Amino acid sequence: MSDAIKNHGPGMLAHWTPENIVGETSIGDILFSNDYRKIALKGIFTAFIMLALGGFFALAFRSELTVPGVQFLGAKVYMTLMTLHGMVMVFGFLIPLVVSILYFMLPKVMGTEKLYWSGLAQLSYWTLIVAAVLLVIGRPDFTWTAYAPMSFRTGNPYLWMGHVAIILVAISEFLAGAVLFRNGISGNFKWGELPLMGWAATTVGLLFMISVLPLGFAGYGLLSDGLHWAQTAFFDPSRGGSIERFLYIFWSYGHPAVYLPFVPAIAVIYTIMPRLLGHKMWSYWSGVVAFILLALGAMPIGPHHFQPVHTISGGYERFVQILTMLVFIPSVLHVFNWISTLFMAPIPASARRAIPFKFMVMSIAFIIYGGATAFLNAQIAPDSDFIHNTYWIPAHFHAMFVGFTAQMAIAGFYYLYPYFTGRMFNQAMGNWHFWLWQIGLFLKITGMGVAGYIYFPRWVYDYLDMPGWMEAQIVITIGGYMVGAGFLIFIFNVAWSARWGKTAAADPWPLEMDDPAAQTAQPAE
Amino acid sequence: MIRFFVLTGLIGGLAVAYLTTAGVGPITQLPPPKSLLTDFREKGYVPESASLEEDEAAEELHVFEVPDEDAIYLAEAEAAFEAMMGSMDMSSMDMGTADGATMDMADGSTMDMSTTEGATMDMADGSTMDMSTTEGATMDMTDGSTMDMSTTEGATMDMAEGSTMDMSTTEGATMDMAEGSTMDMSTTEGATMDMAEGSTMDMSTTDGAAMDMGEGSTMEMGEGGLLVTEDGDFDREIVLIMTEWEFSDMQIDVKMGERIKFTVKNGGQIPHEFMFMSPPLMQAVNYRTTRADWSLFEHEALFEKPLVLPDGEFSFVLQVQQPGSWMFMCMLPYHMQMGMMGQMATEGMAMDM
Repeated sequence: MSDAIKNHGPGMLAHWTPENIVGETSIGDILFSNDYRKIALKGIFTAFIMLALGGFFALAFRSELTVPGVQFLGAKVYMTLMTLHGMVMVFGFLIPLVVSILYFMLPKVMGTEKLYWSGLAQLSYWTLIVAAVLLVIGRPDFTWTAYAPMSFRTGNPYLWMGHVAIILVAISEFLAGAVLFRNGISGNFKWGELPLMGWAATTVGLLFMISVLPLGFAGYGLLSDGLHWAQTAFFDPSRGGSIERFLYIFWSYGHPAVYLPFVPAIAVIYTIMPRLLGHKMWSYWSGVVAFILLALGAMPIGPHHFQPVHTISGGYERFVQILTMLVFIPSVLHVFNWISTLFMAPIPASARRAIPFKFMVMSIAFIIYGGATAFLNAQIAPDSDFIHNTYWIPAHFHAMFVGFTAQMAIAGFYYLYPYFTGRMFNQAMGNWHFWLWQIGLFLKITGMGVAGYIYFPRWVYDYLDMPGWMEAQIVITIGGYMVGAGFLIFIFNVAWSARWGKTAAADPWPLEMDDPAAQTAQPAE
Repeated sequence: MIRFFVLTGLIGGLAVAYLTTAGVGPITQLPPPKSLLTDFREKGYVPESASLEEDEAAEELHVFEVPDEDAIYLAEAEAAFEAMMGSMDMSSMDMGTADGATMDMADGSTMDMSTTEGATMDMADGSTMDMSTTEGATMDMTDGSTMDMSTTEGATMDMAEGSTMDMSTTEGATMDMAEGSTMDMSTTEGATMDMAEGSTMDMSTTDGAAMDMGEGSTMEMGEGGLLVTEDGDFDREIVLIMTEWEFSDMQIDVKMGERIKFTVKNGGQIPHEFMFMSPPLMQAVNYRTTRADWSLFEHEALFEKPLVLPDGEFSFVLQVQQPGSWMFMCMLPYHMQMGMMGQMATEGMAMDM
């Protein structure tokens, strides 16, 4: 470990001895070991399987949507694929991936060298696997938001499996949140010196544990209503239930669900950015305040997801809008903190070369892109014009989910790669992956934004040949295929380099300045 | 370890790919659950006298009301509709140019053509006919109106016993029965034109043109130029099949005065609805859809059949009373956008879609 790493604060601690964990782990160890790195790697690779599945669903219906007219997917298959795409990507890929990366990094960053409550992490993983199997067998077609009463009137006789899966996801995320919280508050730090990843794990752990309660209840209510467990219903209007009750309960989880992968991804930036740049973050307290504000703001602003409902109107609508706008403050605190850090000192040549650094910079670019559209989304007037129920919203959340969160998680994965394989990944393939994803994601997200602006509706498996609609869909599909190609290169790189890659140095990410004289110079603070 | 996950992923991926595409069952919709009220009634909690029928008063709830901000737009759309109808050249309701054109007025119908002064009805080239609103098959000619039935020979207007033609209210109303001739019934109040059974009134437009009014009969004009009745005589029958996402006939050409029996079937997999709308109202509808607002003035439609379940069928008879074009569609969210919108138009009135 070089001095530069040791001496620059808690954020610099993410350094292990590179060793070939993946090559020397037996299948029994993979499945049941409570070693933190093995649990984390299991979660990470399972998340990539989920990404492959979700990507396959997406490319299937993307191909269907490229040109108007039904080609090969009917309504039922389309809705099933789209529902599973949403559920698998959010519950199966994004959240488990970032949580697993935190499992890997937290013990080292916190200096505990062990994951507290790792048994719960193990249980959380297997609960999620059961949920995924149930989802795939149940094949729900009610979209990931599972709006009542549609979610217990359509589909097939196994529909209840989808509802059980929602409950299991809630349990799994609750356990994961508990593990994050426990590890976030551990370690020998005063609160004022707690690494930012610790703050992230603490706040998001609490948010996990609180916000999944409504999700679990929503799942239970759907199950009970669908199977007629009780005389009266929670959500079925024909039996005394309320659809709006479902909306309020679901989106109490639904908005935090965005932050659950989001905050750990931010924590990964706070950890590897100082490590790769060789100096501290621009501001520690701005990050702390932003983490706390994000956690506080997450749940009350859920109703902005269904603003056209008539109970979200008048003063309450304004209240939710203002709260939503207030969440910009912590988000912008984070983004300015990162940008300022990048401009604090010349960026080392080693960082500019590093694939994780490239992904990190572009994920910051995409959070700005997504954040700019978010500013429009928060406005009520355009909300009822081109925003609500059009492709505009998918453009926004794909920028946030894929452009930022997934890319940041991929950056974290690339960063950790030499530590758990003992080898470096292939740089050229990494660059191909990087550029295919940046161009593909930009095309996809921008195409969706344009489609939304010309009122292309969501949740349709076919559409009229309106001016501009097909062109936008073609752009989105091309972008989608580029992302898919990048993913294939990525997986090949991961598998190939683990055996044939160059052996990693003791410090896989050494600092290397353009000007050797600056190597030892301290940046201005 | 990576090999394990790649293999698991490939095998799992193939299984999932099968399950989610070819393995997906047919489109199904579970039967709606028995409502709490029905259940209570079966258990004897609800008195037999209590009605379980749909509550019409629910339609009066504020959720169906036009919001204030939209009322302005709606008023504009309706004004545009009125303006368009008011200025419509009635000469295209020409009963004089084609041989054998008839306007048959059934028992009890009214013909209400105008509430304003100066509205005109051309029966033939250059002629005008103004028939203001009154019950009992009367024909009032208001100030300055003229009825010119002059240009050709052979047209007849039969008014049965008991009918009156009142052209009395003001000076200056004229009725040209033949070229250059004037029939002035205006000089005295209450003057009536009583045409006894079997008598003919020469409308002198074309050979064989006739206007028969049965005893005590009036002619009813439907809203927006369409008169819709549950059944009755018809000239031709059109069977329309609704499927996802089209009608079996997307462009229906009709003739003025034609009576058509529509039989509409839902041949699709999901419920649909069926309505006729006038073009100006469609502008208001379009405005609403762009705001993702699904209260689409369906209750203002010229004809509305709210819910047609799969395999459902209904029929009605429609009479085209004015030249123009009308849209028919399913107004369930996104069904129109998906293609469930067609046009019915008289000759030359079809709009490009």
